[in-house]
Amino acid sequence: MLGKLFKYEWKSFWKVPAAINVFLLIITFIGAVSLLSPFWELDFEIMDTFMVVAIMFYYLALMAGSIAVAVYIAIRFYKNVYTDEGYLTNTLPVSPRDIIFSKLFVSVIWSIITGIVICFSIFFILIAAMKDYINTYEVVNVWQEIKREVLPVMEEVFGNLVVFVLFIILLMIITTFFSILMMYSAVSLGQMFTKHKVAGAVIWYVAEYVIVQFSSSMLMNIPLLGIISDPYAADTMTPAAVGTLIKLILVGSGIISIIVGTLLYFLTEYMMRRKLNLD
Amino acid sequence: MEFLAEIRGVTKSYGRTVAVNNMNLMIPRGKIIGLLGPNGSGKSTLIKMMNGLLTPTAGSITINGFAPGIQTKARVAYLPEKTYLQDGMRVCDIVDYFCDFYEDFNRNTAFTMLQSLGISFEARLKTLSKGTKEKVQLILVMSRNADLYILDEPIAGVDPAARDYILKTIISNYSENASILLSTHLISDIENILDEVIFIREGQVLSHLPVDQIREQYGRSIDSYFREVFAC
Repeated sequence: MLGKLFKYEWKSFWKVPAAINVFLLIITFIGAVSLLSPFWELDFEIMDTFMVVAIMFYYLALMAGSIAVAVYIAIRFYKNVYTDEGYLTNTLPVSPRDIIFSKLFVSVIWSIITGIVICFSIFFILIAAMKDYINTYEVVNVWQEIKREVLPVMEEVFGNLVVFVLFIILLMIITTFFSILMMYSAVSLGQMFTKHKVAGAVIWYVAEYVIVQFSSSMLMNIPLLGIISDPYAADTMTPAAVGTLIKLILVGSGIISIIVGTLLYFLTEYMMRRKLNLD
Repeated sequence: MEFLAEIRGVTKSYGRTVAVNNMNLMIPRGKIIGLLGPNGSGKSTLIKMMNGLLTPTAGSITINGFAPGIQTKARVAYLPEKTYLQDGMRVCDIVDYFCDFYEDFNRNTAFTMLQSLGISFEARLKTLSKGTKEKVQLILVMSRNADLYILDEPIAGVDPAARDYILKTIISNYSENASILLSTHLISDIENILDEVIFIREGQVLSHLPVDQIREQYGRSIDSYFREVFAC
């Protein structure tokens, strides 16, 4: 049944995030083409202001795109499970677990697609913006510096650069699952309100967000205490020590995301199984 | 006698408000049963609990021997009062959807009924009127070969001509081992098809009697008996 649920969820979900991603790609294309054009070489005073406005617009477009996908994920879950549509969703011969997972997988896939589109967008815009500097001495120099200073630290984290990159990708997937489960649980808790269920969901989301941010920053600060207490520690740390510290932070945040995400999943499932409150 | 559904000592309360109060009810097989009561009497709460949309505060509900869950949802065809169809879907999409999820769904029955009511298979649900959407939902529910059909106000939003067709559909589309639990305010329209009636007041069963017995004992129609029992 999970496969069938996934199929129908995908069919009714894909249009909105696909449209948002197409919009982001169009913005990127326009931005890159304009950066490659001689337009920016015009010698008017207003060009600097114009550039600032263009960068701000681009930044806001990327932000709006990613927020829109996240909001759509929450709205779709709310509508499909807790409003009139819930009378069908919750009377299908399937378990709440299958309903949650089908929606979760589709939402995670579209969040990752959106993340990849945003990364590509930034990459292409940067390439277009740096067209005059690529292959020049400065860029080569920066790359050499990264190779000398940053890559050894990355290699120290997991002993191998490829493993490091794979771990970062895994961590991003874990945190995507986690942030969507945070929305699902907030929506599920919000529907307990007799009226203003959406406002209730927002309040729960903010509460969850604050608690998670506060607790994780507290936990993350523990390994950093040694550095803060010793003002010379940062200068004297070897790449191996920095690598260990980064590893601790990355693995720690991964574990926290998995534990809290699992709790939020069980909370959502419990609400669907035992505390449905359809009008 | 083995009952299709058994409701034993069921209570549902919301804080201090008690919607269903220590209710006991046995639903037999092969009957069309009217679930009648004034607004706020607990009909919808009972129906939601039978469909697993609410959890009883106390007591137990079993259908075919199972508590509401995956097994019962596979055998209960539920028509809620609300329109649950997703606007973006076409009629044929929702038929496919039911076909995929309910093993007892008969696609041919659904298409025959849709055709009879002049509803296009290709029509988008958002282009249909509220009444037509209700007809589509009823067709979907009655195209299943379920053990128990629970219909919450199935004819409230449709015109009288379609009402006759729907009632005919209800009678002709269930097997003799299945039962229909039908909640409605339009008693006079449905009383001719009912075998039994359950009167509910303030979350409790007032009476559960065969229709013939009421007619013989009280010498009046169910509609007028209802008006007398629930007179304000």
